[in-house]
Amino acid sequence: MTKEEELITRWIDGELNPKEKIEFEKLYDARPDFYNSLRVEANASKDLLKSSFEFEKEIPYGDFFNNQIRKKIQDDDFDSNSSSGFLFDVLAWLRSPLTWAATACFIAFISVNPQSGVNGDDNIIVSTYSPDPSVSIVSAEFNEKANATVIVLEGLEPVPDETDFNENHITSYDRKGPPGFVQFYNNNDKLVYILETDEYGQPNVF
Amino acid sequence: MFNYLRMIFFRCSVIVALIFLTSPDFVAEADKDKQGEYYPDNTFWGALIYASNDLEKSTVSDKLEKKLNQAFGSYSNFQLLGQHTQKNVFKEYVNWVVPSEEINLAFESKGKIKGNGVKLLLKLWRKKKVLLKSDLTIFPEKPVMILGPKWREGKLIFVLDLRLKS
Repeated sequence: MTKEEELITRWIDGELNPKEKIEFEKLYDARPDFYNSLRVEANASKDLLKSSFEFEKEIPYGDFFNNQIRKKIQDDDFDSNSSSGFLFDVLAWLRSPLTWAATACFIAFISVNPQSGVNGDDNIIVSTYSPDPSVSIVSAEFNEKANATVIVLEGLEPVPDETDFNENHITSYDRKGPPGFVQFYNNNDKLVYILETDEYGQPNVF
Repeated sequence: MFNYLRMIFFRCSVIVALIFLTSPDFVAEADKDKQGEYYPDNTFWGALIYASNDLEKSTVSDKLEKKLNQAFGSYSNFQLLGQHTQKNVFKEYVNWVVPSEEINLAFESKGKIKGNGVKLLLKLWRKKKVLLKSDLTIFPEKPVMILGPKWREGKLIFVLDLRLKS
């Protein structure tokens, strides 16, 4: 784009600063009709585009996207902080007495309070989301008291009362048979269900 | 000020990490992991439980009942509807916890992690609809418990536990 074209575009968009305005006025005075017609056409195109597209549209799986974006920002933030000039700084900060003093305090703190650190073997939830907007995840966290990861869901459609889980008490399953088919057995090794997973990973129970 | 503290913390973390990574204990443990001796067989126990406030006696083990009580204090009775043990869980294969025509919990192993843990992808299906997706880690004796839909007078709970080879 030439400087002249850029000026015209910015004039049409109403984005000229005072200095640019003076520059543009010189152009405009030479061919005012031409520039006016350009602006009319550009505005007409803009209006057409506006009327053809919905500007506000609900994002499918919004919570999932938010979760992934937040994760990405956190990762990028950490990377940029830790990698920027890292190699060049290593020697400098290793030589700093303050670094070693702080490290000594940190190690001493860990040694004196072994229970105060985070237990590395606790279950960790990396991400949890529901693609179904009617389902809300009330909590998803490691419960210290229960020593378990607890996920609480709400808004799920109730399972019909007549569903009899006891009758089909599953105790084992195997993958005998065609690929993608899983067979489920009850206490008496009697086949209760055959479950097939289709190409989209969706389960079908027979 | 915050950035300065953060830099100090980062430096400490790196030094501590270097100390631990080069310690003989850590190296020995890492070697053990590589040899595959450290991990148990991937044995998963899955169960479908009915949580309610009925006056009947719970039919789950005392240990699990205690955990369920701690996690879901509003229910006093836990009935085991179905259970099974999956001895061989292969990476990227879908496994199922007590499936039914109504609701299914699927889990896929995404690989072992240090400390006998396993990375998992959980999917809770209601017929053809996914209700929940979760990436998480699981360690032995630290089950994953999901409080799901209402059924009769209570709610259904899926439990998935990673157990050491017996």
